[in-house]
Amino acid sequence: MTRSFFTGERLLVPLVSVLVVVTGCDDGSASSDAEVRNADAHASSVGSAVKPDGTLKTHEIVPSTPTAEGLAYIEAVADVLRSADGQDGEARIATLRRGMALQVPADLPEAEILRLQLATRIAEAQLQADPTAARDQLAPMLDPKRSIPLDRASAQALIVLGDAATRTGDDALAAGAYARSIRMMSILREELE
Amino acid sequence: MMTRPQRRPPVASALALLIAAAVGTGCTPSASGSVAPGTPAGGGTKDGAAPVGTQEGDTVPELEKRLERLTGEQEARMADALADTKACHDLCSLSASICEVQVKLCDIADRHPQESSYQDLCREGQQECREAQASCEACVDEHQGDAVRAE
Repeated sequence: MTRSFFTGERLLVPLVSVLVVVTGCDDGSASSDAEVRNADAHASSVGSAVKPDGTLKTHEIVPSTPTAEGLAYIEAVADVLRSADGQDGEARIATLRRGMALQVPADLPEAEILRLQLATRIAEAQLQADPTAARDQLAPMLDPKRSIPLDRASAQALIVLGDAATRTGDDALAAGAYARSIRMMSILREELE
Repeated sequence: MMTRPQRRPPVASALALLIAAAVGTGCTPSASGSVAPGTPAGGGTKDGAAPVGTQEGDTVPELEKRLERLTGEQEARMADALADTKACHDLCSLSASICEVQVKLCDIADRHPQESSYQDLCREGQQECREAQASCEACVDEHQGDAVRAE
C-alpha cells in the first residue's frame, strides 16, 4: 500500500550508486542496494536478539469545533501536501519539513493525524535513498509505548516504518510495525462492518 | 464512448404513466385514486370489499405531491446504495492492504523459522487476511444481491 515514487526519486538511486562506484566510496549509507545488503547481514547477526513488539495502543480522534486558527492550520498543511506532490527528492522533503514545522494550534486533535501524514510522506520520500532516516523519522512517533490515532493514516505510517526497518535490517521493528498496521486495519475493518 | 438513450423528464414520465394507468383501467372516478403502497392485495371491488389504504387522488396537484414523495424516496434509496458501495469499497481496500502487509510480515517470519514470536505474528496476519477477504466478498455478494432484487 506504499505510495509509488516519482520517477525522479527512482532515478536518484542508480545515480547515487554510480557516483559511489566512480568515487570508490564504500559507504553503505549512500546506496540503497548497499543498505539492503548490509541490512541482511545485520539481520542475520542480531535478528534473534530482539523480539518484534506488536503492541498497539490507539485512541480515537474526535472531530473538533473548527476555529479560525485550526482552519488556517489545516489549509496550510493542505497547501504543503499539494506543493510536495509537484516536487521530487530534496525539494519535496524540504517542503514537507516546513509543514512539520508549522505551529499546531491548541484544541485541534486532527493535527496529530496531519502531522503523521506529513512524517509518512517525508519517510516515503527518504525510503529508497536513506531508509535509516525514514525509519528515524517515524519510529519515535509510532513507538509501541505510545497511543496512536485510530486512523488509516496511522496504518500507512506503520507500513512505511516497516518498509524502512526492513531496508535497514531491523527485522524485529519491521515485523512489529507490520503486525501493528494489520491490527489497526482490522479494527478499522470491523468498525465498517 | 457510451451514449445514453434520451429520456423524458422524470416528472413528465411519471405523470404520463399515472394518467395512462388510470385511463387504461377504465376506473370510475371514485375508484381511480391510487392506493398507497402496502395495501393488501386482493382488496378490489369485485367481491364487494372496499379498497384498503389511503386514497391519494389523481388530480394534478395530488399526482405532483405523490411524485415529489416518490422522488424523495428514490433519492434516499440512491443515497443508501451509494453509502453501501462506499462501505464495500473501503472494506475491500482494507482487505487488500491487510493481505499485502501480511505477505511482507510472513516474508520476514520466514527468515526467523525458529522464533515463535515471528511465526505467531505471521499466523495472526494470515488469519486477519482471510477474515478481511471474507468480509469483502460478503459485502460484494450482498450488494450484488441488492442490485438483482432492485432490477
